[in-house]
Amino acid sequence: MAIDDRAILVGIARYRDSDSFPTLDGPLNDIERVRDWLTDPQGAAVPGDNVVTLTTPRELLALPGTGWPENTVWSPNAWSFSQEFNKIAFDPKGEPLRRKSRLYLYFSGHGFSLSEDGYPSAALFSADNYGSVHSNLAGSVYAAAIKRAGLFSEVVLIMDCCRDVFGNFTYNPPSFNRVENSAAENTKVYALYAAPRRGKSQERELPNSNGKVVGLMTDAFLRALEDAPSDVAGCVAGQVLTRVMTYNWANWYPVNPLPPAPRSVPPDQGDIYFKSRRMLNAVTFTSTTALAPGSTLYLRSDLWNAVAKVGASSLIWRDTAYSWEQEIALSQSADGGQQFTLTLAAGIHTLILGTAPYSFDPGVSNAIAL
Amino acid sequence: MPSPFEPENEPLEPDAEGRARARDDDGSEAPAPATWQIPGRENVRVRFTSSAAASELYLINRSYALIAEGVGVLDLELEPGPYKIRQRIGYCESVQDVDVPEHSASMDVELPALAFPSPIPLPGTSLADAGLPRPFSLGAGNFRFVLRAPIEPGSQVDEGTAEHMREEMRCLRIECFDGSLCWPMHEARTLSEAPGVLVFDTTLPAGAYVIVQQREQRRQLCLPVLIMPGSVTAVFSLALKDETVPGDERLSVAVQLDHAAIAILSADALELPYEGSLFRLEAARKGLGAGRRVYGWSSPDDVDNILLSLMDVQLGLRSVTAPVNEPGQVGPGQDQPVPQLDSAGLKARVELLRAQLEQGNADVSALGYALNLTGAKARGPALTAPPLLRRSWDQLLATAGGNALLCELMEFAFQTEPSSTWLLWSEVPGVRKAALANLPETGPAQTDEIGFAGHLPQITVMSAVKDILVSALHLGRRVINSNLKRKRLAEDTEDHDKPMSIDNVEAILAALIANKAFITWLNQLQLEFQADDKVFADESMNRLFHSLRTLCDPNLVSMLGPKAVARQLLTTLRLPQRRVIELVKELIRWVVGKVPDSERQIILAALQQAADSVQIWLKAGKG
Repeated sequence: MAIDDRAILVGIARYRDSDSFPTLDGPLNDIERVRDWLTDPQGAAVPGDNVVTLTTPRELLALPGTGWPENTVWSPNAWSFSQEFNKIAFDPKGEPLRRKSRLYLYFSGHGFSLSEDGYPSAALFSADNYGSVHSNLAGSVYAAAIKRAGLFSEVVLIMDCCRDVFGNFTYNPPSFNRVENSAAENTKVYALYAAPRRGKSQERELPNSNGKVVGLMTDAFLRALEDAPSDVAGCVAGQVLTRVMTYNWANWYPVNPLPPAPRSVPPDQGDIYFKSRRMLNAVTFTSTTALAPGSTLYLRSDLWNAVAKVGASSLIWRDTAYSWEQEIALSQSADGGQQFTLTLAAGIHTLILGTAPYSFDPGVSNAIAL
Repeated sequence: MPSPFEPENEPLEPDAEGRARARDDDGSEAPAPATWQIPGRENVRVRFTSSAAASELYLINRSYALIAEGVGVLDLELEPGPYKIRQRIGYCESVQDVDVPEHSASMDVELPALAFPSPIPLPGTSLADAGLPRPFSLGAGNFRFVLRAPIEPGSQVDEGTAEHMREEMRCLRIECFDGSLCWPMHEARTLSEAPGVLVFDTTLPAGAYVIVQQREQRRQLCLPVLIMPGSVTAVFSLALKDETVPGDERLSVAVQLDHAAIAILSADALELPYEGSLFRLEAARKGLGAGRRVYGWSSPDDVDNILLSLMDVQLGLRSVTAPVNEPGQVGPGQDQPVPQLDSAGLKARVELLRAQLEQGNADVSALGYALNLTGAKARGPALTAPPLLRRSWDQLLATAGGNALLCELMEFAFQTEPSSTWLLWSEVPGVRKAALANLPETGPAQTDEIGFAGHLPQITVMSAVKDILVSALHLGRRVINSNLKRKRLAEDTEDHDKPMSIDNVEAILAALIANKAFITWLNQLQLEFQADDKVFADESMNRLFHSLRTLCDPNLVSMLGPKAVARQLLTTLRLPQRRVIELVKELIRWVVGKVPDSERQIILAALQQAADSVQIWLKAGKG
């Protein structure tokens, strides 16, 4: 379990200014689906207590007969998000906790980008916007600030909102200082936006959404986690996930006009990996003799060709087309040899060690003697 | 033992057309991307061809690894198996599954045409009318403005649309850049052979022109165009209706100059099959507007299509200067290298463009600065006209030399407008002509109580805004970046005792933002003005003022500090530095004149502390 991972999920279905921000049917359903995935032990495996949800309160969902009382608190808003974020990122004294784990930031609602953006960015309008009074939940700015401050080692930012471009706003900054941490460059940020700049996100009822209206991008993200080819560790690389969404977008959502496919921004270095939602099998390979450091193993499946370099205590596997890379631990077996375990989908696989090929089906056999 | 892998998906050499080929693997790392060696199974040479060789192409294999990307055509050697090929033009795209069979020597995949919308009536685009004549047969002379309502073949436009089109043409005119000569487009004519088309055509002397669109009583939008010797310049635009409203309630949408298609073709090429070249021009325009990194639309054997060459070089340049963030592309820090820029090739193409266009062409100058053919601080030849491309404008602004050149050229009050491909600015009618043709200003600006448009001093020397405007090249995040730094390269000169620099005005603005008396007054003012109120005649002043209102949020100021907020505020103007200075000075004058007497001395003291010269130029009055 990703015991120290954290998540903040924001879904805004109703806004104070309902003329400018029409009520949305999808965000609360999206939050439910994303939360289910996050807390599923077979999904992201984030402990339920570590997932904070900020959604439109029930009392704001039904229109009052005589208008909203003056003291109505419209949430989620920039302040409530900031409070929740600070609780998980800072200790009671305001000192950064700097967790060596992943933070999921998920936003669903009305959003925008700025005309001056020089980099893919977006923010969600706070529920309390009205007239010229504006504030926002700037997911992209938070992600950048988290990286700068080294508050988490990985950030997954998902923004299922429109990216209409405005020039007369500014992103609300996080409420912590801008001190840059030396570990900042190690923090990986994977960002996923529902649309390219100026693009619209869409919500609608889908065949698999049990009669509920859901965001297309959120649906595509969850669906891609099931459909994407997983690697030797049973994970899906962020860049693969993006391509699965992009290349299947028109097939999955045959609507006219076709909305633009989601936009993603990969980390500066490496990639972020998600646990596959496919049915996978653990296969343990055991060698009676130690694998020679520097030697090479090859593995072919229906989905990819992979190659591994043997190290002192691990194997570095990667797809030959550089879609992913995984380090798999090498351990000592009972008879003095070595063993390692791969998590693979069912189907014929062939492993080559030295000159010997070993064919197997992970759906049938879970132990291979080399 | 021999590797069980053999090279997979090996790209071939660039074809005769020189189209870009890029692969997504790392040739420097062993082993190269490889395939399983199965006896008797060999790679297949596969050629993917898009309609008019205009689409961006991306190929992935069964593991969703990006194998190749390029423009128009991909020539590859592929392992047999399933692939997906994605083609796109602008935001139109399609994905096709392709199975590469075993035991075949080669395979040609002709991709279906991608019907993208274009103002140019090109066969294969979604809004084209098959019955229309060729695009450059619409009108005569060396300048044509073609306004077209997409209609079904054989039908006529309804009267409402026809009137809307005439009304739109009445709002348009073309004039010399200096405003000395003007040709209204209200006499645009219909063509019997082209229903749904209104054409304004004329023959103009070669030079720099501006298409002006009167949108408000005291505001006009300007789109620069060039008339080149021996060439024809055609601007195509669409008369559209709001499709989000049902039936007869649909409102006609105003002509969007930013979405216009501009083509400049050699007159000699008009009898040749130029449609493919225009198709690629439109694809490149949409790619440029969408911030894409793929390039390779122009080819040596194309018809003489100067704008296509220009856009292609810009896209090539972007392929190395922009962050990698397109879906399906890998980050620069990942294992795979981004495709190497053929820097020498790009420079050669810039030199070719330089030879084709007159000295002082702003788009070529911008490329010169961006490719370091011209030193950042060096002053290139004086510009003869504004650039056509928005990216060129940003590149010029980003260097000291280019900034100075722009400032010398644009000696009038204007505000650049948000745009994706073309440079667009707005101005008060008359100010450009008054400034550039040295004629007395006429027009409504003078009647505005607090307007100062047209009263700007003559511009002489510019300083650099390289760092604050570097984002124009999309080199990094620009959102509230308090680490922006500015080099102080030169002072502006003015008729005051002490010249003001951009650092001075930034400090003054920061002092203003940090001043509680000012903030209190500004908060009271919030109730007086709406976000889109035109407080000033000059649009840049309005933007500065409204940005100030937005950015003076106490939380933001306390978080970033007043100086960072001030810097952000100035950055967003996207104007030459000298003009930024003038705008801030004018704003300060206005504020000082507006605040109650009880607060004025407090604010002035704070400003004086920030810059000694405040009192001097405040006393000096306008200009």
